[in-house]
Amino acid sequence: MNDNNHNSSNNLSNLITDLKKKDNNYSNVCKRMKYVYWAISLLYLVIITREVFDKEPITDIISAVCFLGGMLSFAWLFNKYQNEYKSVDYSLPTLFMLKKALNRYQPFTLRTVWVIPGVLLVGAGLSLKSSSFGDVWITQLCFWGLMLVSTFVGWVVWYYKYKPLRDHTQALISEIESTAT
Amino acid sequence: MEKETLFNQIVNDNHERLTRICAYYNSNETDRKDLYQEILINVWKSLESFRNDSSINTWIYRVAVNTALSFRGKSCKQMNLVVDATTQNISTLDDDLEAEQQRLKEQRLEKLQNELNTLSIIDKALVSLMLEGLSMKEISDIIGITEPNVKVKIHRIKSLLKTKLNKK
Repeated sequence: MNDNNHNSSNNLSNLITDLKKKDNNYSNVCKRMKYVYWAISLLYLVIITREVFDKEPITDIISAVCFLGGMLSFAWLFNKYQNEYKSVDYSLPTLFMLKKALNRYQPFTLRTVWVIPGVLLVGAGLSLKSSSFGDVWITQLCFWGLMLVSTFVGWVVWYYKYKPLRDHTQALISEIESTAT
Repeated sequence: MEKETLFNQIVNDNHERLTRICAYYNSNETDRKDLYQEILINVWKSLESFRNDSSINTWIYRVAVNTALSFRGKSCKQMNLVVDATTQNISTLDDDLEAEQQRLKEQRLEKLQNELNTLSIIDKALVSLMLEGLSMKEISDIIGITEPNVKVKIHRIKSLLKTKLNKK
């Protein structure tokens, strides 16, 4: 009996260690990305200050400001995702928890809109950096092509990894709600 | 109270309850252990939301049922509700059960077991909460639908089970 209790408390202690690791893993990914974007933002702040003091062309300064805006926007987004992940709560009423999960598993939601300002600012920054009209077109074509490919890759990942979860969650919600009518 | 202390206390106080819930959903020992582990992970994750003034019963059942529903995504549809003569509150599912002769009891339980496993995952969750002896109010708090809706749903499940059991 004592041995059982001892084993059980050892298992629990190991589990707590695992849980702490897991908690940290998820939040650390977002935290690291957030810090990366903050560091880049800081770098752009230094570049902007130097460009102002060196009286560089105004387009270069505006371009750096656009990049800075884009980086700050991404840092803010990762901060938002980090908080959102931390707030996953299994002690909510089932129907409410499922609806929150459904929202998390959707490929495009309202929160996706917040990516657009950051992407637009980076796009604008790239255009302002280009030296000629032809360059602008090539830069924009490459940039939006890359965005399109990234969106497609993201969609494929969602389709195989999260769509089954989304569909399953949707089915459970429909079933609970159909019984409630 | 420190998170670790509170977690230990909740897990120790509810060990039997959680083991029972895992048993409802899985006949396989390994799957039971996996589900138990998953529930503990979610208890840990959700501890921030636990307030001592709320009912620990409702809170722990919510975490357990929500975990069982999201456990392994698609495969949770294949989960089996496991009941036998020792399952507490089994008579709440089949009112005629206690009146049956002893020799028919096991046979009827086996049929009941088969029929329970044809139920949807949500119905299984409701049945598992009923078997735990929870009131309609507590079940409605856990699932997030109104008490009358829980009553209607459970009435439908019981009628369906009764019809099927009496037909055979």
